[in-house]
Amino acid sequence: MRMLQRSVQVLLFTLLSGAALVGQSREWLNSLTEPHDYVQKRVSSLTVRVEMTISGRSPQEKRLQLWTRRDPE
Amino acid sequence: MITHIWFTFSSDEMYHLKKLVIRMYWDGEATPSVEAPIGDFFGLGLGEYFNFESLPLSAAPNHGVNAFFPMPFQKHARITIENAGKMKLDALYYNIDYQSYAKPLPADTLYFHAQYRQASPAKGLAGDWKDNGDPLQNDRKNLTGEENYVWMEATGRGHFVGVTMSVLQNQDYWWGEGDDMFFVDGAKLPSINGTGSEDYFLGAYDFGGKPFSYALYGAPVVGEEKAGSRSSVYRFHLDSPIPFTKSFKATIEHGHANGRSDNFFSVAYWYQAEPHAQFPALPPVEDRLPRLHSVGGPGNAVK
Repeated sequence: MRMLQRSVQVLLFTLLSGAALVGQSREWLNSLTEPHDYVQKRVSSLTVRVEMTISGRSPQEKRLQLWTRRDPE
Repeated sequence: MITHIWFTFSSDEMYHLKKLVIRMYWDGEATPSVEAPIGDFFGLGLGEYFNFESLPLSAAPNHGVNAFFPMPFQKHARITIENAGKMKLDALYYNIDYQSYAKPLPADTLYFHAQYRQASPAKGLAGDWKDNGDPLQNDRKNLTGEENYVWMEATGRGHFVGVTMSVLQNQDYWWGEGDDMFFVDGAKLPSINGTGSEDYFLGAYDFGGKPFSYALYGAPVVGEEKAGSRSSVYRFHLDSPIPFTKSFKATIEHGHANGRSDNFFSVAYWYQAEPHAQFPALPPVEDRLPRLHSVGGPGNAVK
C-alpha cells in the first residue's frame, strides 16, 4: 500500500511539475511578441566585487571576499 | 500567427543543410526578416544532423527539425526555401501551424527575425603562439569589443532572444575563452559583459567535454580541444529577453580578447518592430561550408 501511495505521489508530482513547465514555456513563448519596457542588467564575477557575511564566525573571518578582479577581459 | 514549423529533407547532397536557404517575409516587406542556411536556422550549424531539444528549436530522428518561436503577422507571411546546391532536393516535407484570429493583432506586436553570420576563419592573433595560456594570448585586452565575432546587429525597437552557434576549430586547445558582449542603444562599452563562452551557454569549464541539451541552453555537440574538432551550442533568453529601443549589437569574442582563429557559424534570433536594418549579404554557398583554414597557431591542421 505504501509503495502504491509513493508511486501515486511520484506520478502526481511528475504530472504537476510537467504541467507547470509547459505552462511556463507557453508563457515565455507568448510574451516574445510583446514589447518589453525594462533594461536588462547583469552583475558578474568579472566586474563586481562580491563579499559575503558569514554569521557565527570571528570578526576577522566574517567578511569573505570572493572576487576582487575588476579588469574586463 | 505561426506557432510551429516542421521540416524534413531528403537529399543525397553533402552539406545540403548549408546549401538550402530559408527566408521569411512578413506583411509584404521587401527584404526578409529571416535569412539563413536552413540547418543553421534550426541549430544545426555544421551541415550535419544531430538530435537536440530546446524550447524554441529541436531536431529529432530521423532528420526532422522544428521551430516553436511565435511568428506573428497581420495579413501576409511568405516563407521560401532556396536550393543553392548542385543536386535536386528529393523531398521537402513541411507542416506550418498557424492561428487565425477574429481581430487584428495589437499594433505594437513585434516581428520575428533571424540572422545568419559566419567568420570562416575568425581573424585572431597571427604569429607563433603556443597555447591559450601563452602571454601573447593571455595578456591581451579587449574593452570595446570592436573585433568581436558579431551575432547580429539591429536598429529600431525590440528584444534579443538568443543564438545558436557552431564552431569548427582551426587550432588546438579550448575554443571558448571568448566573452559575450551586448551593446544596447549605441553603447560604446558593453552593456552586458560575460565571463566566457561556456559560461554564456550556461555550462562551465569547457563543458567538461560532455554534450548536453536543455530547454534554454545546451551544447549538444562538444568536440575534443584540438584542430578539426566541432562544437555546437545554443542559448535562448526566453526568461530574460534583452530589450533595445534604438539599436542593438550582440557579439562574442573568438578566444580570449579575440586571439583565436577558429571558424564560427551562427544564427541570432530577436523580435522587433519593422522596418529592420539591412542584413549582411549571405556568403556564397561554397564559403558557407565548414572547412579548415591555414591560420597558424597551435595544431593548425592546414599548413
